[in-house]
Amino acid sequence: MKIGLIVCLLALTTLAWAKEGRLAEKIDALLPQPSAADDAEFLRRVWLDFDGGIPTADVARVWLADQSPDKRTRLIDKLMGETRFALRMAEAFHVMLMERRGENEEWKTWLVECFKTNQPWDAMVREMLAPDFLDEKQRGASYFLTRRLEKLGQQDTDYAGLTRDVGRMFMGIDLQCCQCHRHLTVSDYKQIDFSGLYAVFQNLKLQPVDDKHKIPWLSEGLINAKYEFVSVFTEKKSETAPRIPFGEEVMIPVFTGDDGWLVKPDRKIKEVGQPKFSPLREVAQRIPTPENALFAKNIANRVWFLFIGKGLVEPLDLHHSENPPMHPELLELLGREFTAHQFDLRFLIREIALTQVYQRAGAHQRHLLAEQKLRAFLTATGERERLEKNQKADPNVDSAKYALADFEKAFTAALANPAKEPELAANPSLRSALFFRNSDHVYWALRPRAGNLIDRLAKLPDPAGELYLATLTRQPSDAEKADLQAWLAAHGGDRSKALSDYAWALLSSTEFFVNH
Amino acid sequence: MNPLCTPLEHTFSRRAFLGGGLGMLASPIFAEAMQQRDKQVLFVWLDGGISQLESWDPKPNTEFGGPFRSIKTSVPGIHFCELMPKLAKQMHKLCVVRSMSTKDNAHSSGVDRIQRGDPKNRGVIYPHFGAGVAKLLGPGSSGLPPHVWIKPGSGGFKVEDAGFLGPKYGSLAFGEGKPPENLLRHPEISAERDAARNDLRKMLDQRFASQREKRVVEANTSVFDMAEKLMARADIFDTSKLPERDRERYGRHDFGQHMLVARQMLEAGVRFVKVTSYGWDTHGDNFNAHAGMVPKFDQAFSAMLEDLEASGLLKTTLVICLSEFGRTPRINGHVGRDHWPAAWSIAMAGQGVKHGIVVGETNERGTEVKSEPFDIGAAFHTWYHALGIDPLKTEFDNAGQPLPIAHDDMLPIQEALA
Amino acid sequence: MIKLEPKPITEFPSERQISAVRFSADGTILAAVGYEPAVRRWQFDGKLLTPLPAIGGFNGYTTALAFHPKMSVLFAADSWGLLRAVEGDKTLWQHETAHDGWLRQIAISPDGGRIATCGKDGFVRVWDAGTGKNLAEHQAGEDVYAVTVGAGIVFGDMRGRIEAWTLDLKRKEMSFDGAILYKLDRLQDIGGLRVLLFIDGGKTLLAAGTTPENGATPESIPTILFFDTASGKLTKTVTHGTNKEGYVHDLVPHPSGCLMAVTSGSPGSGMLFLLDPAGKEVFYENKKMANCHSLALHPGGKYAIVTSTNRDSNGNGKTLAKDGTYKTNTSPLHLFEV
Repeated sequence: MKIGLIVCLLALTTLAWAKEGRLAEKIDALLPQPSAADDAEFLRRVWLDFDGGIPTADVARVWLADQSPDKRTRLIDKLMGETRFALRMAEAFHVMLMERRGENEEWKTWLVECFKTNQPWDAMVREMLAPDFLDEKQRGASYFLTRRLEKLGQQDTDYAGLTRDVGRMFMGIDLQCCQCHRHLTVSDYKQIDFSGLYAVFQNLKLQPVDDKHKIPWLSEGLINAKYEFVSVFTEKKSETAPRIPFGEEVMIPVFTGDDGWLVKPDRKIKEVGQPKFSPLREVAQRIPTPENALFAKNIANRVWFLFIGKGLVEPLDLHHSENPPMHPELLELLGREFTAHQFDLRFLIREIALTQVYQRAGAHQRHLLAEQKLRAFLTATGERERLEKNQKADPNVDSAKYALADFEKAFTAALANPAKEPELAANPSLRSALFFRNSDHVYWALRPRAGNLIDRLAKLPDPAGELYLATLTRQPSDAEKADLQAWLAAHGGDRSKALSDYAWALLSSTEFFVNH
Repeated sequence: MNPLCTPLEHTFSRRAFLGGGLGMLASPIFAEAMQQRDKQVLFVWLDGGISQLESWDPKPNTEFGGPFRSIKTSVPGIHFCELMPKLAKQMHKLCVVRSMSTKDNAHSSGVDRIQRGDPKNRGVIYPHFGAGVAKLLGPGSSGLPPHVWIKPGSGGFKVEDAGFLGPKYGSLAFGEGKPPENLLRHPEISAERDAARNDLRKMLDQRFASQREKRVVEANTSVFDMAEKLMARADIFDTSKLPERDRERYGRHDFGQHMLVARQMLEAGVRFVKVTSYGWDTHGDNFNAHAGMVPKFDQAFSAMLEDLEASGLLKTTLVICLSEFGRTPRINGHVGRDHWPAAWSIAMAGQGVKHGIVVGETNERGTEVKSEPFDIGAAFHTWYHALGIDPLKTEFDNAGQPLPIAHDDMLPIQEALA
Repeated sequence: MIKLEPKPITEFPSERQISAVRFSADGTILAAVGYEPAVRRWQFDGKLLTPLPAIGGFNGYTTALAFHPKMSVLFAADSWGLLRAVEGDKTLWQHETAHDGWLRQIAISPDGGRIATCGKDGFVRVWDAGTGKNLAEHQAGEDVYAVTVGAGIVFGDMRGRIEAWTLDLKRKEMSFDGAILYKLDRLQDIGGLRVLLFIDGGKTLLAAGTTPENGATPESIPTILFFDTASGKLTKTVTHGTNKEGYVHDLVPHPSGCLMAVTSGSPGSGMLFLLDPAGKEVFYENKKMANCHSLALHPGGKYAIVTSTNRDSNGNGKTLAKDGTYKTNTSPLHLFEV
């Protein structure tokens, strides 16, 4: 029912907008490109972006042979129709929003459902900022807040960190430096912008699972006065009511005595209380709105970064007047249309994918998430299905030596960014290099085994085409073919080993591990 | 075998060979190589807090002085606690600052604040000293990872040590002195095969780089190159091949063996080596604990100083030994001493610092610093100066935000600088 | 065996911390060693402790003391190795370096003719109590924590290795395995042995202290091991309290047949407990004193003095007293009527 409605609305709005020209065409008008990527380059790019992995050699062969003119658009639509697309978006948004703070099943489920049903971004943000902890369908969204308010060791609860992240993730502004004073280098950011949000979040308290709540939840305290803050520079005292950055202060209702409580706190029955006035709900209503221009611009910029590899504003969380977008008109356009389309992420993503700039030749080399790298690696080596089938690893049986979870763990440990770091750029590390060079996981996947890449290649008299298609989603050049022939001639004593080593070199190469 | 071919020599041999073949390996070249040698750091961390009174700053026969005697050192007029007889003979190499006065008396903040040298909260996570050195001085001519940490317990890639400098500068930790995961070649792949396929990878990357922007390939290449250099020096953390005499001299306990691994790493040219010893938080049974532990520390640390001196490395290696704080003069009911940032000691030696001197003093009861007190920022200024980096002229760049490398309202401990 | 119930009578202040306290044979003098280079003394009249001049001339900490079982001679030692015999204010004899460094314990033979000492230097030595002449010595190797004398001599080291030798230290007669009282934690050797004591006319040897669990800030349970001296076998292990309670620091036999023990562990925790050596039962416990380090039983067993530590003895950083000064902790002396 709900999905049907969305599809209907989508169809209607798309029709309405079609008259004035598609967003993709408007972008093309602003950013015309001299040349388009060839089919192979496009295929790999779109697959990594929409599926999260690479196509198998067979799939690639069929699609590359297809001569129909609209095959790119059809491929985009096909991939966006798959469950994988929702999973891939959930993965990308999880890494973006949580910055490797941890994994949580309910959160993941919520994200996947949001992308499956194409929840508008404003609705998603409202659910993240003021979660309904009792609604099974929504409560996963609370992980954004609750994870950040967990106490780590002897550190104090990081209310300032949460305040900062809300600004960064949902408005593209990093107010960290405004905690104690006005921002030193960004004149737009004032201490009140931080304090207005901080007033809201420092009022939260993380509560453990109980009879009513199946997950950790947040209680709010009573706020009946403005929040005071002092600049460490000027020692000037100021105050603010709850307020979103650059917005109006929320009026704090006046209550007398215990009137402010909807449910009064009572220690005897372990009732922490519930105030009538919820500053959290107030900001959750005020941030994701068309009036808050940074709300749409931030996510448009982040989605642009995700698919194009370069933000229109960089750093992604430093939108301000002295750091203008490299293409102001374009960001304006993206924000406007995204807002007009009720913050419809699928619409925005599809339009971006249809642009010349997305489909151009020699695009930015984009960082892949550890999850994308793993998926690509397992598709290339032909070991994904086997690992998915292995429920439990058995070290004594070669084919069952690992389960998928072992590879997920190993790849994430070797390739993912550390916690609390935005994962934006290709960031090769000594750890990842040693992992590819020496780990048993990589070695195992490249040993010949029924049906896997090396097994298939060993049976081919001229394996170059299959090898390049399976690993790099393209045909080898003549020089590359010759290189492989020379390698096999020199190391052909054990053909499987020689092929395995060649595949290893391709899979460890930079070309395999960037999206371009 | 060339008689000069000590482990140390290996790190110079390539340059020496390039300079003109075997004949050039005579001592003048060797001496020149010594002079050109990269500056290095050995950072010994006694986690939990060694008691200054049972080590560098004894107060025998005073109210809080404890049961132990003090002993003469190799520098007239300077005394150590009797638990450090070997280091007492090395005092002429040491620079002991007895006037540290820091702020944090909890481990959680203390360990971080001291090692990050950031006594004021700037809203960013400062890098550990090792990460700062790795960033400012790089891996040097050895090409080995510039920030290494040898510790009991688990090893791995400790990216959190790097703070805002980013994961690249975090430490590579050798848990129990053992190499991190995947450091050694896969047992089923021969050295020749491994080298051949790695050359192939390089060739493929070069071809890709010729068609694309080079930055990403370069980043990838640099980590694979470092992996290669580290794998080639797998010998430096293999203590099983070390002479029994050395293993005995450093002591057959984890700290001793870890210091020996550290010596190997310094000899191999690792820029910054940290060695941690845990268990110094003696809130109970302080004197028996120190009676057992300090002599083990004494043994390994003095053996290290002797060896660094003998190999000439002490000239270019800044040696630092400290904890997050000292221990209270007052003895609690559990016969322990508690956390004490108010008046404690650190020891240094080698590159850039004076030797054979004590800087500063505490009062007779050991309850406060009598001379000018130094916060940790002053120590950071001192260390950077000793390495030839001027903290007043050098800044970190945190994504466009300039940040001082050492606390900006402090200065180096001038008396300690050579 | 009578189940005694010691009653706390009164408490006397001290200026410094005390590690061991003993009564003279006639019960008129109480002497204490502790965290200062002096031996403190008090006159005891059954009700009051009246301070007498302290005996100075020691170094570091005074660490061990024993009164002659019949005469008024006191033997005391310090952490720099000095051993001295005094009567009143007169030094009878003295060795500046009876041991190289920390002299850990002194034990006197039942007839008062010999005293035995042990130290951090790994030596056990026997001296003529009257002249101070060194009669015998044995190099045990490791830091020797405790010693007691009966028909022969028994000593135990940091590692819980306990050995019985003839009084001339020429022949080893028995070994007792107290390894449970030792643990190596990283660099730290944690020796848990504190007291060795003969009971049952020498048929049973007790080794008391703690079963170490961890170093640095030890948390462990007070422990008493019972050994059969004839066979060397461990016959019983008594533990009492939680791992906050720490060590049995002193263990004294009462003439009625029971054992009196005091404990000290995490700052603030302390116990005096009484135990029937025939069973395992602790029949009396007093947890009102913090960190008890020593117990002196008055001859005849009617009174006992327990030394504890003032409350709030620990704290990180520079905790100052109300007058703004940085003060030492002290050991209040608690008088009990047994």
